[in-house]
Amino acid sequence: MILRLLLNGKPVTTTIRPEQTLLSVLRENLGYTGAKEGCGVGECGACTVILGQRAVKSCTVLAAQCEGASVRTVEGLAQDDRLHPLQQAFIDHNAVQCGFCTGGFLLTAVALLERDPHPSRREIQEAISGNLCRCTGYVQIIDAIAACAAGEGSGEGQ
Amino acid sequence: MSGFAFQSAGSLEEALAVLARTEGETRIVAGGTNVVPAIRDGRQPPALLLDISRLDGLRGLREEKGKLWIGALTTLAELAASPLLAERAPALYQAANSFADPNTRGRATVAGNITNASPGADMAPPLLVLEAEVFLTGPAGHRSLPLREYLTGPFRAALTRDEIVTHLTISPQVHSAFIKIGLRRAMAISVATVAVALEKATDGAVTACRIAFGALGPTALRAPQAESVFLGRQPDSALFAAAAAAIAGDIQPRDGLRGTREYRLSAAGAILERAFSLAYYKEA
Repeated sequence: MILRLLLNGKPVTTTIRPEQTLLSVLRENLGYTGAKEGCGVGECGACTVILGQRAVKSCTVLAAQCEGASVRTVEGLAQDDRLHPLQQAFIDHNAVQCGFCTGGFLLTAVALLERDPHPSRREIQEAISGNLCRCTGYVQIIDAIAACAAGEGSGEGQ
Repeated sequence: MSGFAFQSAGSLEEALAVLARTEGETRIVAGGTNVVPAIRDGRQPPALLLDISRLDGLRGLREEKGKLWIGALTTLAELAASPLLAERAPALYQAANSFADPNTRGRATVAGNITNASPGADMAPPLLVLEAEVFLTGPAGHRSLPLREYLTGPFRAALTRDEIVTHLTISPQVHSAFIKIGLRRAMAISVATVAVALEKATDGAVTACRIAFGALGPTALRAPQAESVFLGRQPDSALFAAAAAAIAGDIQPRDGLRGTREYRLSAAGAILERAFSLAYYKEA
């Protein structure tokens, strides 16, 4: 069957199997490998992308249900040579080690800040509670998101 | 060939027609958080995947004739963010907020949680104590049944293959609360859960009491023996001890990966006291 998506703002069309996950379509059909498969059952968050306005675990989303939907992946965050403010904040706060979980954290954080530009530290913790990191721990990641929300290093709110 | 097929229903009538005429396995998919991992693990045999996620008439949460109407496709994120639920039915609000994580809650639906019928389904205990009624539509028309009859066994619900859940109703109760024990706070399958809803007289005596446990039996269970301990009484430590002792007659905890039978029995008494106190002292 045919699936049409608005992927990082660009219309794409691909032929999928009815039971394929959104993650599988992104990686295998479309070559967008920024979303990772960690657990494959919705527990680790490495596959997080933004579907419509919400961060979702793309390994538990049936691709066929996404017909016509807007999907954003980590590949779409940077604009030309400029990193997204959250990407820069992750670098500035040493919130990346192996990088496997990073794309998922970034998209969860992007969706959070779009919904609530000034979350409390507690709200940041709650928002990322379904994303697992096995290297850095979470303090640097929370610091990065909080700093970005405060406008630090993003060029905003100065 | 995988043997799977996919069809998206544009209306409830269309979805019912597909169910009525399709021979072989059909699987209704809404949020996909149970069905999609089951496909991956091979637990879901090849089937027609019938997408009902576009049936917007099955969404929403509103007050209707003294009850709360909850559409089948209402997500747990919507329940977790509802001021109406927070005020009128705290047990369900708290359960929605303890379910998985915010991103999973954005996909998972309330009808999916109870129809999947996991013994540890987080929505089941609060819905049981709020006297949830499940409304189904099928070729023979509409029917409804209490949630306790809808949950027929582990991963079994009283939904026939040609029916769809349209909505639930609950009786709101401000004196209600939910407590969950998981191995961590997010993305945790329940080790034990409890929900309490009660009414009390002006002198503080408990005049009605409903208690339900999750992950402590083949389905979420009401606890009639523990309930009767509280009736006509005001809670104190002796009463909580009596209720904790009575629980053993109500639940059937098992040894499992997430806890032993003994631990679960003991934990059930502790969380009952906490949930009961939250419900009892909640200001109306």
